[in-house]
Amino acid sequence: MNTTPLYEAHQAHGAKLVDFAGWSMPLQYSGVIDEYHAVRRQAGLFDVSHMGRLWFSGKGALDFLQWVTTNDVAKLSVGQAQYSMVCNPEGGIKDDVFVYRTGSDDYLLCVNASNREKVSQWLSEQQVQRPHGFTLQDRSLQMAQLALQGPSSKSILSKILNNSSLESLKPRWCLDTTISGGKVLITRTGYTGELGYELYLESDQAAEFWKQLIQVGEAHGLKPAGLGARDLLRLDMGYFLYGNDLTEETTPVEAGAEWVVGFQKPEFIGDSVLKTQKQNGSTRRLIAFELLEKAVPRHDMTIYAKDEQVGQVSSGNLSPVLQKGIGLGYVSPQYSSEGTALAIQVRGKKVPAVVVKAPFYKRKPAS
Amino acid sequence: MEPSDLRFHKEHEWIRVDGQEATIGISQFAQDALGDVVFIELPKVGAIFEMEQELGEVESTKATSTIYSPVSGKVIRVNQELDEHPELMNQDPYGQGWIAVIELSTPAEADQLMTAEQYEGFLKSEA
Repeated sequence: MNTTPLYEAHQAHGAKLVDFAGWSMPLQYSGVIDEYHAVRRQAGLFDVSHMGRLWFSGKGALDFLQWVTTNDVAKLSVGQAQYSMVCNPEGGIKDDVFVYRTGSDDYLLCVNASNREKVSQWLSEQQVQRPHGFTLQDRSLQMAQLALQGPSSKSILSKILNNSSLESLKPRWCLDTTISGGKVLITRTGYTGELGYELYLESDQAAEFWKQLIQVGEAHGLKPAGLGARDLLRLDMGYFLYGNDLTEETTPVEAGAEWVVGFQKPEFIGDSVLKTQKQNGSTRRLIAFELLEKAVPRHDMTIYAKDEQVGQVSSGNLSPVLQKGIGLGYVSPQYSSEGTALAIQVRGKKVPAVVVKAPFYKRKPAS
Repeated sequence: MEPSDLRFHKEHEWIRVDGQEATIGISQFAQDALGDVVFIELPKVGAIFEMEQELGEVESTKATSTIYSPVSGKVIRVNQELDEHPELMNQDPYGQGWIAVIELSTPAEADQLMTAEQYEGFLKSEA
């Protein structure tokens, strides 16, 4: 089992640790709901060091990333990031990723922990065929990654950061800086829907940095938060979870994520299938739905339209803030438009549901 | 230490017998294993259950789990507070987190359940 550089910190906070993709990770500390509300109302600090961090460097990095990811990497300015996908030649999703342009010829690809080895291998195979002008380095195990999320995150971070650029850092932009002499890449990204930052740093600095954030954050209501809260927070936003909502058998078009596909950019892996699906439609489509009675939808439950089985739930839970059962699922396209009446088979009972537009949760405008 | 006035079922439900009635809930161990409870599907007042029949469902942030009736009888009260405050099941599983009161049809069944001491031993053997 892999452990992150923050393992001792988690134990000291009384975390309940679980095996997640081969990593011993905190499921919760004070409680899933308590941590969820801390992030929605104040701030939460997550250890996301289990994620994969692949670095690309060199003149050929852009062309290579254009070939292996779906979004248009050429649109990124230095210091900017984009959500994207790595597809197989059939258009199936190998992983959903974040691409950061950290220098004019430098990129960071952040991949899911559960897919790191698979994607790393896949990219190496692709590199053999297109070796021109770049290096690829998997620095996942040499680095740590934290996510500081919630309305108070900016106030907390600015207290330990001597850099006024944080104030103007826009969503999906990054900032190279130093904290206590150590290099940190700060990005305004996250998986919660709140104002928030992710921090990429060297492993040996992680424990000290975590401690500082917790100390400074205490007065702002900051709490350490685990995977349980993270999953509820992301579902409120309709964000995908790889393995549930995205698999090698689903495409970005089926997932309703055409916005991460650069249909105009040069040739890339999976493009012909995606272009065909965009033009002719796909046989299924991801929807967001809410239950009209209090019940909790779960992964793999059947979705009905009247008495006909039309699909399956890919993610579901009860939103603590909305107090409603919410979920994502795949249905035949004719049942995917907003307002369509459906039902979810929750154990013995068909619970009425309606197709809605994600996000389920809408953040209050920043004051 | 588990409260000594309770009897426990191996599915981690407890009962507190008072004459012909028994209050039912889930154990400290069960609530901890479930994690934060978000919703409880309570049985209906008047419903009749056999021992080990499904009495209701507990939904936590992690999963759904079934509550089995540790004894046979008729439901005469349910804890409506849990609709508004499912967290009571986590905070006070042996008190305010009770689920239902059953009128026992076969009071002798209670003797088949574990004492607090036996349940503690059972938890250790399961660990």
